[in-house]
This record gives sequence, structure tokens and C-alpha cells, in this order.
Amino acid sequence: MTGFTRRKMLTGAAAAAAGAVGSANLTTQTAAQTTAADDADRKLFVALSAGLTGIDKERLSPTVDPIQIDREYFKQAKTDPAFDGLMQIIRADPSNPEAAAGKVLFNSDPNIMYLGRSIILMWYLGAWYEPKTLQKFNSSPPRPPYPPDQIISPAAYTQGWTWRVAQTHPMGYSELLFGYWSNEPPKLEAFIRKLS
Amino acid sequence: MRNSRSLALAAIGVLAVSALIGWSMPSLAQKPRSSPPAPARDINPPLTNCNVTPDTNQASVPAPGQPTATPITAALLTSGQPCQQVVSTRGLIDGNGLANLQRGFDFYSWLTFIAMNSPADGKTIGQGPRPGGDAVTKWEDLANFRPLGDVMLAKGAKPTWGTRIVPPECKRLDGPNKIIFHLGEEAFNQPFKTGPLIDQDGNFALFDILMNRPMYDFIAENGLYSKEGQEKFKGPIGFPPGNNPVSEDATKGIKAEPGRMGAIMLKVSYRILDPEKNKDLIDKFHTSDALIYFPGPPATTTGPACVEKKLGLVGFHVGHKTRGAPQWVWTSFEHVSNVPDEGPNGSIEKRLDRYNFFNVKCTNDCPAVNDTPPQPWDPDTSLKFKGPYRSQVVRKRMLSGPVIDEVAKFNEAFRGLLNGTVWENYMLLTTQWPSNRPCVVEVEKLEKAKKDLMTVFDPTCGPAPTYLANTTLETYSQGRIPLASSSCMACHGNATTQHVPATASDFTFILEKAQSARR
Amino acid sequence: MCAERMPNPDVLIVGSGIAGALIAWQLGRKGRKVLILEAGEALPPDINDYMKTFLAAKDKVPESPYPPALFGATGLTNPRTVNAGRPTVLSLLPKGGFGDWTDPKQAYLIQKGPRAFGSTYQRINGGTVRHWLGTSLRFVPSDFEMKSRFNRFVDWPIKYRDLERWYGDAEKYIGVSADVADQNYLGINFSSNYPMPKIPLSLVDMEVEKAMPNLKVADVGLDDLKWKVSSTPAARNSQPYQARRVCAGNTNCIPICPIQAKYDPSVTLAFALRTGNVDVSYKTVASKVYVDGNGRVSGIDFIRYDKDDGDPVERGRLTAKLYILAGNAIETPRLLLMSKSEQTPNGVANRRDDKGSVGKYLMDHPLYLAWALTDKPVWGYRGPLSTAGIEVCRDGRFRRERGAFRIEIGNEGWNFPIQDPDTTTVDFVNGLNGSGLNKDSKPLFGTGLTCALNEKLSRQFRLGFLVEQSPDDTNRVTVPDQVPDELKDHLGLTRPHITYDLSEYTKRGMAAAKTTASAIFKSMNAEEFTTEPKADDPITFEWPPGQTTRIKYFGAGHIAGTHRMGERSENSVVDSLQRSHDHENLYLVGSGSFPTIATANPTLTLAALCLRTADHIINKVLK
Repeated sequence: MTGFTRRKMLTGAAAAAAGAVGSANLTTQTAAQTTAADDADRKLFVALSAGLTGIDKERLSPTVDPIQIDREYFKQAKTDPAFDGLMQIIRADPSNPEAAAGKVLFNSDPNIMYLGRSIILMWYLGAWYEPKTLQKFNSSPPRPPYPPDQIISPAAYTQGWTWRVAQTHPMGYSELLFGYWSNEPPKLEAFIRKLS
Repeated sequence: MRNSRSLALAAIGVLAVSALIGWSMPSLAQKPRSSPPAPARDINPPLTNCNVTPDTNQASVPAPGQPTATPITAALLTSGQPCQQVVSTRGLIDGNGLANLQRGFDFYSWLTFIAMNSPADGKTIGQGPRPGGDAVTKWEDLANFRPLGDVMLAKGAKPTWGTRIVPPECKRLDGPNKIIFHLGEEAFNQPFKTGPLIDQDGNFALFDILMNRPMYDFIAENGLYSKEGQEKFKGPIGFPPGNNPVSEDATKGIKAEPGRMGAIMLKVSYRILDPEKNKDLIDKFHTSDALIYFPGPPATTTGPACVEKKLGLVGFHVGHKTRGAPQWVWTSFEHVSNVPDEGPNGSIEKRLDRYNFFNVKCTNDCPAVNDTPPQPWDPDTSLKFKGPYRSQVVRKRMLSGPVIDEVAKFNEAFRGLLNGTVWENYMLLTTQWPSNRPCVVEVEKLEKAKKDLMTVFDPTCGPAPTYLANTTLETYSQGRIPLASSSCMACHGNATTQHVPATASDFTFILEKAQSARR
Repeated sequence: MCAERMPNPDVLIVGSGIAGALIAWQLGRKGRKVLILEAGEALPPDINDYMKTFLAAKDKVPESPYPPALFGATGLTNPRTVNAGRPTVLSLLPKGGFGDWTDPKQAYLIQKGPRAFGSTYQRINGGTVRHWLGTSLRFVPSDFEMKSRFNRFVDWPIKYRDLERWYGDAEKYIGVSADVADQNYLGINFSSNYPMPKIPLSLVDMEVEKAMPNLKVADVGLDDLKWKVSSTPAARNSQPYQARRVCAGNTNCIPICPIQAKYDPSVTLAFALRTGNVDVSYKTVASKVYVDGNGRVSGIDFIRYDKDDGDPVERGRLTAKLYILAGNAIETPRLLLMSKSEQTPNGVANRRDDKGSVGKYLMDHPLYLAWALTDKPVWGYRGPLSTAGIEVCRDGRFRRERGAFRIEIGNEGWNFPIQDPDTTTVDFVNGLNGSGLNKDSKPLFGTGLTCALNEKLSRQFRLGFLVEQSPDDTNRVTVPDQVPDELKDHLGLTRPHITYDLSEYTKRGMAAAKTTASAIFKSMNAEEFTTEPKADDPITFEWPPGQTTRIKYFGAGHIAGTHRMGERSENSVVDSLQRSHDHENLYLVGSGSFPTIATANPTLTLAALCLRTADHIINKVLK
């Protein structure tokens, strides 16, 4: 069955904003040439992301990680002007990422609050919704669908967490075996909790 | 399981074999058994000569000491074949577990390459009688490895290890040290029939698949060499893994174990060498004198027929199932003069003045890079492509800078050891291995319990690096696009048996080549 | 170019989709020389580029992996600037904004209304079947006899039994997975086995199956039906086949299978090329068909281009003994109607009086989509997009009154209706409620977010009803003579004009689908979430008639009817072998030949018809 749309149509304001084709940055494996300070900051970013997303940080950024999507996301988040303000919150209390996440998402500064949401959606969908796009969605809710401002990269799409939270895989990216769909999936914990 | 009438017909031979593997055959009443049955033959027998050399001395340098690299000296050329990788998150780069593990695997790959390509007669690599110290290698000896075409026989017939099958058309050409190369459907066409590879002399590149004894035995003993045998087989497929010897550690409840090699599958690619036209190249390649058998349709449009060609090795892919890598360890080597590399900024780095699969001289008339030849693709017995087309192949940049650099250092060192021999002309691309340790532990537990992997959230356990392609074997799927671009594990993870419903075949496409006893 | 590569073809085929590819292969393997003209891009060495484009697309519509590019710098690509354009679902939106269905600067098809035609197609190597789902159902015997059995429309000039053996061949050539024991309902019978066993059912299918014994649907003519779920035959490997891998449940059949476990016509094109007797000229648009004084086709003009928006690089005319147009049921009539001349005042194959039917009887499967939350998890977004359906409702006396339908069970959650999981994810993170699942419009994070998302996403599922549209001669493709430039493509050819509406017969079928959907959800104890469409949505109609409530129809991508087959040329264009009544050396192949569209997805039937045509050509025409 063909012409039916899988992900369908842009509507109204969301469509106008999303006019240009997204420029997808192809993943290039970043060399381990970051500075120690950068590395430390990235680890804090991941810790905060765990609090924001509800996914354990060992899954967001495994110790042995051939894909290193956290580096792409860190780079993307850094482009936002409110990033430093957001990072101050986790730097102030690195030991409690859940509390830091709350402080970000209930922040009196809407730039920080919406950046927090953009970061969650980045991990979940591999796509970047500008904080101001999300803010606009709130002030005048569009009809779905809500396409993002940019797909970060093909790799980012395959690492999206919303699928894992649904106990499945991104559409177009299965590493599973023939017939798996006749069986129940592994439990949610197997997807999002630290593996022992 | 097995039809007892057909067993009775092959009584003598079968009885001999059964003594080795301990079949009980109650219906075969001709020879009453008076002695107890022989113990089951171990298809993954213990070995005493596993190569356990690690890439660094980290095991003997307690933290916070900095490990140093194992020196790469001639002693390594005779250190034997690893039964398993020896790797650790701890290594030369402090705090970078991924890089240290990768280096360990790449070191394992070089040792594996050296051991498998050592002369079959036991000499040291590079000290053989042929030009450039070449010799018939261990993997070309039917005592050690068997080609796929001699395992998956017509009508699903049972294969016999070690036998040399000479098709009638090849008999007049046969002679000592000749390799019989039976062309299957993918002998000149890359996986999934994505296209042939045509060298600068207009010859088809040729591909063959071989397996070692433990892998063969698993297939033979479980009847997996026929479609019907696979339909009958119950339970998940799990080839025997290799492991290095384990010392006893009572405090951790670890029992001593001998080393075992485990299953190894090999895919090789060749270019044809003309003894006259290419005589200056003979000592730059490992060569085989091959009798190439064209069986006829459906595999080849021509045939049955047999021609003799001198083949030069240009690609070498090893898949080795080991403990700690139930998704297998994937090693890939190429001849250094195959193709130029794509540089970091996308330009083509032409370092040599001639390549096997790239024309340095063309200017505006070059064929499109990494494009497939025009159809039709089937070779005739000349094995020359009809028409002027030559493949114009570039090695796409699929690995990260640090991996490329680390592998380049190993290549320089090991090729230096092999200086003056044909083997100095081969280089490692890298090694792909499963990086998610807890996932690997779970998979191994399920394998041991003979359960399938449906409950695992990612049966490939995080392949590292994500993509890997050999320009002679995965020419047309190079890139970094998830699933579309070449990744040993991601692709082989889709391989199944011919069982209904299809079951995972443990990362090998070999089982789908089994033929049917029925028409 | 063309002349050099294949100087004297026996057969010239326009279109390298499944129809053209199958015929070319059959002819080529029997030694006939074939040249295919394909308007779109060449067969690539691998699908890396298509996958890359797909993964980076913000709107993963069926067209998204394939060229030409859907977007330009400022919005949708203007079809006037594209040499071989095609429609997209992105231009089926209300008037006045992005994707305005009536705006020729955004929509390739010139839609005259009153309602929007909802289906799209590809112009590329392999054609539209590159992006299909893979569903390979046979028609049921009644489907060929609508007039005799239900006093509606016309009978086909052939019966099921005439096509049965070709169905078997088609199933073998495209690799269909199914078990005969599941498929011989409603009079279907088999003389051969499917080449591969069925694809296993999904958990979603099993959940629907549980509700079947207790299902009762009133008022739609299905009162005594024994409802059951049937595995769907699919051109998707359940075994290694044709050197392609077995399905790994990528849940991406539409628009592209990353491992080519799903059949697409590049497989057949490769077989055709391998015979050594077939060549394809890509980016080559057939622009006019010529007919000589004897009523025979004497040549086809072509325009070849290099860049999608660049100037043509070559023009010429090609000749052959036989001509086959396989350009889909909109592009083929477009070409015929563009080919007006003294010999063919109404276009080619269209009679010389006003009784020609080229372009008329345009049909689709209007698709009714309904979605719900099950009461316990079914874990959608897993497996192929669809593995089973409900087929027993495809035939019955009710066909006198209303369009029949089949029911497709979707495995992809609410992806089709609301582009989930993205929409629901944004809802829960940003405090919106576009999905209907975040009733308080609360933003969540952390464990609250994972729990809420998991709880909802794991219970989503949808049903799609493919309704048989009536063949109406007012639904048609036309090509007016003088049009302003903005209604042309970049080659200067007039784009297809579409007039389209849904008849009462069809609307009653859609309404019956709606009733059935709600009844199924009720018997499953599932909570329905199907939303009512807005009045400005161009693919909707009012129901009940005269009311303000509306039903939405999607285009299933099943375009048919515009060169229908029949015994007499007064109301058909081709005979049962798809040969033009008017021109003895011209064949018009594909679902355009269907006189009625029935309820099954058309690909298998059109493939069977094409194999029958090819056999006839080999054995009787080009002996």
C-alpha cells in the first residue's frame, strides 16, 4: 500500500518555519582531542541529561561507546546562548541530577527552561527543536505533526530514545531477528536502565 | 532424525564415523555391538598452542603504572594463532577504554593473519619456496579449512572433511599444489548480488568462502548441510567459540580450562595475474595456481567448464567466534595496492602509481567512483569483462581518525617484519567487535542455555567501530549510513537458516547456501 | 545515446516500474531486444543515498528517500522547475498555506476538484513500487464480476480463473511469503504454492484476533460474517530469497527497506539487464506518441535531461516494432492525451469520436484510518508495517449498495495518523496535546516522562480500511491544450490535470468502514482516538450527507482505471491483454487497465496481467 503517509503533513505555522530542507550533519567520529575541561563538562551535561530524560546516564553515554552520540548532542546544545546558564545549574550540584533537571525545567528564565526541553527532545528524537520553536508551540499550539527545525544526523535518528522507551527500535533501524515481533519485547528496564 | 535405511546402505563408512562421534544406531543390526560406544568426538578440541600474546603488558603493570606496548619483533611471526582476543580497557591511552580495546583487537587480527597465512608445511611465514618467500598457506590446506562449495553440495549431500573434489572438467588440468576453486553464485558477484569488481586488466575479481574444522563439524554433525537438515534442526544455532587457556582461580570459583580454537570462517578475494603480463607483480602477492570450475546455471551462465588461472590474494576477511564475542570478531585485510584512500576532506589520496582497482591516469573520462559495472555481469571462461569498463574504486573514510592512526602504526611495524616477502604488501583495515560488555554477558548466558536471543534488546551488542568495509568485498556498500552501509555485525546479524520459520544462523550466511535433497 | 546503446529494439517500453520491468525481463530472457525509457533517476549501486536522504528528512513521507528533492530553498519545490516531477502528500493541505493542494507552485498535479485526489507516485528507476508496503493479495473471483453479481459498473473481460496461473508466477517472481491454507477464502484457489512461508503475526494482530469471535457490526451488510484475522501475503522475505536477506522488522517498508528484504522492482530490473537484451535510458521522458496513416504507432519522442532542474541535453524520436506504455495510471494517460495529431485528434488510443475513455474512470482506494489505545500493551512500532488484516469482509451482497473494503492492521502504532512517536513525545515534553494523549497538557521529564510515554506508546494501534472506489467517468486525468506556463513542468509539458470526487457508493463504503472500526475497537475494549477532520481539509467529505460532520480519506497510492480494459472500445481502451483497441502495436499496462479496483492492493494483480501480456507478446506477436 503506497501513497498513505507515514509521517504526513506540515500545517500552518510549523510548516512555514520548517520550510528549508534540514541540513543533516553526517556523523564524523570526533577524535579524542577534546580538552579535559570539555570532557568534564560533557560528563556533567550527560548527568543532567539523565535527570532530564529519565534514562540512566550509563545508557546515554556508555563507558565503551563506539557511537559517541553524546558528543554530537553536547556540541549541538552548546550552540544555544542559554547553554552556559543551564550548565551552571548542574555544575552547582553535580551530585543531584534529578534536582538539577527540575531546576532547569521550572526555571524562571524561559530560555533555560525551553533549552532544557530542547535537550530532552534531542535525546528522544535525534532532532533539534529550537527553544523558541517550542515556546511558539506553547503560545499557539499547532496542529500535529510538529516537524523539528533540524534532524541532527542519520546516526542521531538511530539513537533516539523515544523508541527505546516504547520498548522498540527506530523505524528504519532494527538490529533484531526475524520473527521478534511475535514475542513480547524485553522489559522497559532493559532498554533504559544501567546494565549490570 | 536420520533415515536408517540409507544408513544401512552406507554401513561400513558410517560405522567408522559413528565410532568417532558415538551415534547409536539401534536399527543397524548387522554388527552386534559388544564394546561400549566410543566417547563423543569433541568438535572444538583442546589445544596447547594458543597464542596468548597481549598488545600491552597491562596485566603485569598494576595501576597507577602506565602499561607499555608489546614490542613487535620477529618472534611474533612464530608465536602461533590466537584462540581468543586478549584485550583490556586498560592500555596505552589512559582513560580511553574504547581505544585500548580496539588496539587489543587489532593486535589479535595481525597475529591471526600471520598464523593463518603461514606455510601449510610448518615453515615460518615468508620463508616459502615461491617468489617472495610465498608458499601454500595453512588455510589453503584441506586439512585445516574447507571451501563452502565443498560443504554445501548438490542435493544436500553429506560432505566429507579433507577430501579433494576434482570436477571432471578439471581433471586434465590438475596437478600438485593446485587449488580447486568451485564458482558459486557469489564467486564473482558481491554479497546480495550488488555487482562484480573489475580490475585494471579487465579481469573479474573472484571471491571464495572457507571454514575451519570446528565450524565444519558443527554443520556436518547437525545435518545443516542440507535444507531438510536445517528444517529438522531444533534449537538455536550456536557455533563453538574459541577461548585461550584459563588458569584456575579458586577464590573466584574459576576452573582451569584448556584453550580451544572455536569456529572460524574466512572470505578471500583474488585478482587474476597473468604470468607474462603481470610477471613483475608475482612476488608482490600471495598467489595460488587455481583450477576455476564453472558449474553452469544457475551459478554461472557458462559451464560446466574448467580453466586455470594464477590468482593473487587481494582481500582477507576473518570471522572468529570467541568467548567475549558471541557476535564473532571480524578482521579485514587488504592488499596495499588495491585502491587509494579518501582523505579527511573528501579528496582522493593517490599515493601509488598503480592500483588494482583504480586508474590513476584517467582525467575527465574516469568512470564514476564506486559505481557498478554495466550489466550483464556474468563472466565467461575468459573471466574478462566484456567491454572497456574498469572499476574505479576508492576506500571511503569510514573509520575515525584515531583508529586509522592506530592501525597505521601496527601496519608499519608488522609489514616491517615481513619486509622482502609477499606478505609485506598486506595491511589491516581494522577489527569489528561487540563493545557492550553487559550485553555480551547476557547473550553468552542465553547461548549456553540454548535459548534464542529474542529477549535481548540489541543482539549485536554495540559493534565497534560502527562501520567497516573491505574495498574488494564490500565495494558498493561503503559509507556511514546506518544499515545501508557495510557493518560486519549489522549485516551478518540478519543471516538466517532455511528452517521454517527462519531462525538466526549465528552470524553466518553459509547456512543459507545449503541445497535441497528434493528438487 | 539511445540509438547507440540499443539501436533497433523490438520493443520500446515507457516506464521502469514493476509493470515495465517485469515485461522487459520476460521479453529479454526470451531473446527480444528491449529499450526502456525511464523519466527518473538511474538504478544506483546501493541505497546509501536514498537511506541518507530518508534519515535526514524531517517529514518521512513515502517520497522522502527518492529524488527529485521535495524541498527547495524556500519551501516545496515548484513543479514548474522540475523536469520529471511527481506529486507529494505534502501538497494535500488546505488552501491558502503551505502545501496548498490547489497551488500549482506547490502541487505537481493540477487538481480541479471538487475533492483532492489523495495518492502519489514516483518517477524513478523501479517506480512507485520502490516505496510500497509489499502487500500481495489476489483479487477474489467476485471482483471481476461486479456487473453480473451486483449489477454495478462493469465486468472485467477476464475472470479470476484466467489470471490464476499468472498470479502464481507473479508471486514467484517478486517473492511472496504466505501459506495457501490461510488464503483460500471468498473463492480464491491456488494451483501452486507460495515460494516462501508466511510472515509471523505480530502482537497487535494477535490482540485483534482475540476480539474476532465476539465481533458484531450492525447496519453495514456484514451481520452474519465470521470475522477473522488473516496473515497478509507480502513480497517480503521470510526466507533468504533472490539473494536478499530475511525481514528483520525494520518497520520501514514504506518508504524504504534498509536491507531490501522487501521486494522492489530494482530486483527485476537487475534480472532484465542481466539477460543482455534489455537497456534502460534514464532521465528520459517520453513526450509524444506518433501514429501513422495505418493506425500503427510509428514512434515516440523523448526528451533527455541531466540535472533535475537543468535544460534538456537531447531530443529525438525512437522507433520499435512494439510499444508499451507502463508509466502508471496518471502519467500514461497524460502521455496519450499529449499526443494529439491529425491521426489522433483526441490523443492516442482514445478513438476519433467523443467516446474515448483515456484518462477516465480514475480510481484510488480511499483509505479510512482509525486509531485507538488498547487496554493492555500490544507494543506497536515492531515488525513489518503490517503483517495481517481482515479480509472476510471484502465480498458480499452489500456490494450492490456500497463500496466493499478490506482492513489492514497496522503494526506502527500511531505513526500513520499523527506521526508518532514524535508527536506524543513533543506533547509530553512541551506540554501540548496534539495527540489527544496528554489531556492536561502537562510537560513531564525524568521518570514521569518515561513512564507516561511507555504507557501510551505501548498501547497504540491503528486500522486502515481500503474502500473500493466506484469507476466514475467524471473522475479523470485531462491534459488541456493551452495552459499557462505555471501548469507545465520544466520540459514544457503540461502537467496532469485531475478532476476527482467520491460517489455516494464510495462514501457509503467509507461510512461503513467508520462504523466497523468503532465496533472492532469496542469489542477489543480499546479506547478510540480517531479525530474528526476539519472542514478545510481537502481530503474529506461530509457525512451523513448534508451534515457538518466529516470523514477523512487518505490516498492509498493505488491509482487505477484510466486505460481500462474491456471487450468493446466504446467504453474501454484496451483488451484483456492490455492491447489498445485502436492501435495494434501499442500496449498500455499496469493498474490503469483495471475496469474496477476491488479491495485488494493492486500490485500483484497488475503484475499478473503484465506477465500474461508478456507471454502473449512472446508467443503470439513477436514470435
